[in-house]
Amino acid sequence: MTERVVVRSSSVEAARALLRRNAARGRETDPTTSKLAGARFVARDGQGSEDVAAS
Amino acid sequence: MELPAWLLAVSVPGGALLGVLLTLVVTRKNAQEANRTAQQETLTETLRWAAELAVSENEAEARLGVLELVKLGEDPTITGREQDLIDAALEAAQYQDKLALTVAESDADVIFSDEDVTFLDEDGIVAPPAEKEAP
Repeated sequence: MTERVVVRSSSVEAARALLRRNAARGRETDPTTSKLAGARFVARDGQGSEDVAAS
Repeated sequence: MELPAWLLAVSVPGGALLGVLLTLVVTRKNAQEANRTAQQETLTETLRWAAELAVSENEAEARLGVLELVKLGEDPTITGREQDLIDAALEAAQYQDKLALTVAESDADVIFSDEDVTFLDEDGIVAPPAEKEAP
């Protein structure tokens, strides 16, 4: 069974911001930040699981 | 040597006018400098406030801090040093979760949820959080 890691939405937002900032400045982002930035959103009721990165 | 009367008549008010203009220029420059310093102080204060919020235990506060840092980072007037401070604050905001990911399996499913979000039903009553699954 795949291990599931629940992270804070603020961490995900911070990771995504760093990813964007580094990309804009041509800098590399460390793999852990990239992984955090790619976190999936899962609703509390377990339904409507979707990636809100594009929203 | 005696100066001509017409030169005296022009130079006295001309000198006064020049003096007034110089005073205006200096005053304006000082005001601009003071304004720039005040803006810089406000920016520093906001940056400090946002950074403190971003590492808060309270998720709503942390989110506000991160979003504020993002907005500050988009300001074209901020310096490279301030950009570095924003990056450092964003790094600190995600530190704990990065630590968790470092020890997790490489193919771990990384998710975030709406656990801290309050939902209202049609009667305006706060819906209780969904029960968590037993381990």
